[in-house]
Formats: sequence, structure tokens, C-alpha cells
Amino acid sequence: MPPGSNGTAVTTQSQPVTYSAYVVTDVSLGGHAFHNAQVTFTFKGDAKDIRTFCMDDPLGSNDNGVSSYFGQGQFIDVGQASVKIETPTQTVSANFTGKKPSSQQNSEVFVSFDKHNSGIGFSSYTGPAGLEPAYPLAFVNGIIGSSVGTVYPNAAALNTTFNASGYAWSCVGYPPLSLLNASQKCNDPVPLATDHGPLIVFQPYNNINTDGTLCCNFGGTLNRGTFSAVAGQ
Amino acid sequence: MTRIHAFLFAVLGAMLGAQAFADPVVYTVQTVMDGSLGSMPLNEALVRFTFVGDTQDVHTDSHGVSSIHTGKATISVLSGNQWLTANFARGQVYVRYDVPNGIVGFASVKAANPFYPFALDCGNLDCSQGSVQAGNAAFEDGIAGILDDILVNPTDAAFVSAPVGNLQATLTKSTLLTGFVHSCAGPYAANLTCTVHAAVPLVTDHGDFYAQDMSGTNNAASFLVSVQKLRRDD
Repeated sequence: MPPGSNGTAVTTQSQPVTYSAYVVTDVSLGGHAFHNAQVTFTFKGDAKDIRTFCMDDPLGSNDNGVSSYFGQGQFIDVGQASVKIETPTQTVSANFTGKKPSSQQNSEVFVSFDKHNSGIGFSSYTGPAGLEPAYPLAFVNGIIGSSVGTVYPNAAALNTTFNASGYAWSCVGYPPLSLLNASQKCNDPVPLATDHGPLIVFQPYNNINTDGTLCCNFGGTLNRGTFSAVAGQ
Repeated sequence: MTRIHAFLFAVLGAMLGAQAFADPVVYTVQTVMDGSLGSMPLNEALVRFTFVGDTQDVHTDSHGVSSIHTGKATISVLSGNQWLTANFARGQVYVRYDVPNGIVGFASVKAANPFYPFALDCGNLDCSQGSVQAGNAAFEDGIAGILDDILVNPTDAAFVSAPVGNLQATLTKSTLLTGFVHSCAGPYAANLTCTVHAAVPLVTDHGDFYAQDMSGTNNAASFLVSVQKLRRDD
């Protein structure tokens, strides 16, 4: 997942995989705002395109005292990502059209599972750093993992069917409490290209300190959601 | 909950009841669940519950507990890439929100259990013991617990972002509540699994439904209240 990473394939077996992530939140699509909409992201790909990643700590030292690298796990960025937005009065669907910079094949929005930090969800090649692991929507805690280093077994390779729930993050600049993020907040959300105009995903419900900074890297969001993987169908 | 606290909720509930309007409302919860539906076992299955009713049928009792029994309830299960939807028979489940304790979910008269098939934000292995209420532990639970916490400790509103303050603890207005999922016909065991199998099934048109959480108490969900305001002159 990290730019320049040379991941290895998880499997050579070709089979369809579909991932979905669900949350109720505020979004904007093509300039139209939706409040507390049911938002479902979907990514359809092939298991043979799942690859591993291991992202070294760019500071060259422990960032949070528990590891010498930021993340390790699997990702898939070859496939079609889409989003469905549901409100009581309308349903809108859109396909993501953006690509990874300098690539015609890799989707701007992709799926990743950081098993080292027990985070899973829809990531994107965007933002100031060129890579956002928890934007547009990723999950920590919940079933996916209750603490750092906990791995949800069925999710280990992203090529099996499983479901999980967790704390829902739509955060540019994740993790907010990091040596790389001086603000200790999520940065302003960035637009993602779709065939219905730019999509912006907000994270309105947060647990904060009195100075406005987020309380923590896992519990800083008060929103919850689900992640699902369906393999072989 | 203090007596004063209960009294305030009762007065508030009576006031809201007096102003009740007839607006369509949908309650939606999507989460992961164990149990069974007909012949289909649910092993950490992705499920979505809905209850469609009308806000005029929401009633609040003297303890500040709101509920709606009249409406159509469904459970949808993701099977492969398809959602299978079952309709609950009449009187199987209702929506319940214990505002003073910050516990919201789908309940059952038939099972004689206000926290079954599921409840959010018990903050406790035994839902009947109420929530953890004040303090940081409540913050860990989600929005349902936090709104409860802020009612008891208004200064705690400083620890949530401004949009949280726009969310209301009610079943009669659009809002969003989140929290951990308690899905067991009785208290959880010490190993955080549910060992209590419900004595009676909840009947659907796809067979009997049972819920019995085997994956621990970390399961989380959101509870969405969507009220569709009808046009009127008031």
C-alpha cells in the first residue's frame, strides 16, 4: 500500500472478492450535502491482486512505543470501488474514478487491513502524504481488534469471508496523535473523484480534549460501523 | 438514576407526548450477530434490523423509557453478496430507549426481555443493571452513553465535538446513537460470551430467530433514527 512498497501476492488463486463498509455520517457528493446518511462503500476485486505491505516508520524510530514500523498487513487496489448514499428520501450511487498517481490500473480508493494496528477499511491515495489509511472509512477496535497487536484471525489475508464491526474513522491525517501530525486532529477531508462528482466524507462525532484535539487514536471517533468481506461469490 | 432525574424525564416525556405529531419513522441498526434464523446459522453474520413506525406511537413511561410497539420490523442477513430479509411476525419485537440509562435497542415482550434481541450501550455484562453512566467509561461506549453522561454531568459536553450536541436522545426525532452491542437473552458470562439461549424464539416469515452473541462484548453498532417530516402548517 505505501508508495514504492513491493508487496508480495497473498495468493495466486483467482476468485472474486467483495468488500463493503457501512457507516452513518455526513457526506457531500457532487456538491450535495447529506446529513446522517447511511453510507456504504464497496470494492470488487480479485483475490490474486491482494498484496502484502510493510510500512517502515519514516521517522526511523518508534512512533508510539510499540513498533518499529507504522503498519503491516494486506491491501488490494486493483478493482472497482463505489459508494451508495441512502437517506429517507433518496438513494444515490457513484463509482470512484480516481487512480493512484502515475498509475492507470490502481484505484485511488482501495481496501487495506493493517493487522499490526488492527485497522481495516477503505483507504485512499490522497491527502498531503499521498496515502490515507483511514479515509474515506476505516475501523479499529470493535470486533476487528480491541488493542494494538490484536489480530482478527479471519481477516488476516483479506481473502476469506468475514464480518466485523468497529470504531469508524474518516480521517485525513490518521493517526491524529502521531509525531507526524502536529495538530492532533484530523485534517480537512479531501474530495475523492467519482462519476457523480467529488465525494467528501466527514467525521462529525468525536471525543475531544478541551483544547479541541482528539482524545486518542482509537476512541477519538464516536461513530461505529461494519466491514464485510465476501470471497468466492 | 436519581429520583429527580427520573422526575425530569417523566415531565419531559409527558410534554413531548402532548406535542406528538404523526411522522413516519425508521429505526435502523446494522451490526454483526450470532444466533440463527430459520435453518440458517448466524456466525458473526452481518445483519441489519429495521423497524418502520410512526412517531405518534412512541410512548414514554414515568421512568423516562420510550418505546414503540406498533410498526413493521425486519431482519436482513448478508448471505453471499445478497441480503436475505425476514419479516418479524406481529408483536415479536419493539424499539426501546431507556434514556436515563442510555440504553437503546430492539426488545421483546414475548421473551420478557427489554434488552433482547439486542441493546446498545449497556456498559455492563448484565443490561438490567443499567449503564456505567458518568465518567470516561461511558465515553468509551459511544454516543448513547455520552448523551446519557452529559445529562448527568453537563460539563462533560466539553469533551465531545459540537455536532454531538445536536444529537437528541429521543425516538421521535432524527438522531444517531452508537455503542457496544449486547445481544444475549441473559447476562454475559465472565468470559464475555453469551451462554444463555433464549427460551422462546422470535418468529419471522423465514423461521424462528434466536440471538446469542459468541464473539464477546466488543461488537459495536450505530442506531439510526430517521424521521420523515410530513408537511403541515404548524
